[in-house]
Amino acid sequence: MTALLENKIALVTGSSRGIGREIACLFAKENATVILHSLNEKNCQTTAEEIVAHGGKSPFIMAADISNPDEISRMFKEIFSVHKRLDILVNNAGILEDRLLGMITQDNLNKIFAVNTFGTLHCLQLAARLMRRSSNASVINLSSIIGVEGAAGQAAYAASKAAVIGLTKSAAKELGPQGIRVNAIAPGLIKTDMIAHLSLEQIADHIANTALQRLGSAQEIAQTVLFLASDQSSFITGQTLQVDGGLRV
Amino acid sequence: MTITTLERLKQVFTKTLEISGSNTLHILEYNKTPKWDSIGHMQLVAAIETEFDILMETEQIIDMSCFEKACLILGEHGIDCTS
Repeated sequence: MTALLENKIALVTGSSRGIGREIACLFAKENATVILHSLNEKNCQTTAEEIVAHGGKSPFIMAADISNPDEISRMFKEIFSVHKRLDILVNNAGILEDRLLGMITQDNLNKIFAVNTFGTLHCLQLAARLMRRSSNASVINLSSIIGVEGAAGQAAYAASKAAVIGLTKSAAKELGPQGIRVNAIAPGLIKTDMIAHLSLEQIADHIANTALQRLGSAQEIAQTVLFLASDQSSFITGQTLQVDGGLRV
Repeated sequence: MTITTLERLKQVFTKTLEISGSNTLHILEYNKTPKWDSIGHMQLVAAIETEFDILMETEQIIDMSCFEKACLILGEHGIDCTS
């Protein structure tokens, strides 16, 4: 059976750990040429070694601060000079900072939006230019169930992730005529470092409100990203897929 | 016969903007020429990038308002457009 991402070149931002790492490893398993990304190259070494150990093609590693448009521009120039094109972009890099409304400072907003929203937009903007040289290109933006439903203490994060959904819908309409699909995924509570700050009680509450009565895994998100990245979803664009186990917020 | 860089750029403009000849290229202006609206502009950028194997800066894309500016931008990428 042919691998789902045969001959595809894929950039996964924030792929040194958690969901990004799972996505990168799964893409490599499906024969993609994977470009790993993190704030520094060293962070991606373990993911790179894991990919090679499982028989995947040796991945490329890019270091860039997603909150800095100049660094994003440099990263895409490097991708252009080495690969000439890009088939898949997974905008996974993101940060989470919980604060009640009355305690959100302009600095908090700047930091969260710079990575989650502006960084996503800048990567998409540059990727679209490289994707014109591809056939059946796909962008997957990682939003969040919090961006869809909101949550107390997460107004800034929710706003930054809701913006990603608007960006996804608009970009899908603008880039569709060029054969570039743009979709988003809104994960529920997933077992990663990102929820390490939650108490056992908070997690138990969350599980109680989830139809499937458990947390999601990074693998389950990666499988959904793979579906949207591959030609199996060739007629799907502009959608936000909630992967949350039937969460009632 | 070798085609010059200038000729290649002219061909990109005439083909993308669907202009019948290259004589009027110097009077074309972004948003004042039929077919050269924002969508046409991005198609032009894509065509130039593909033809000359470059990746333009966002500022260069915004600044490329006429044929002469496109020549200058190619120069900034080390591609001599004067010959």
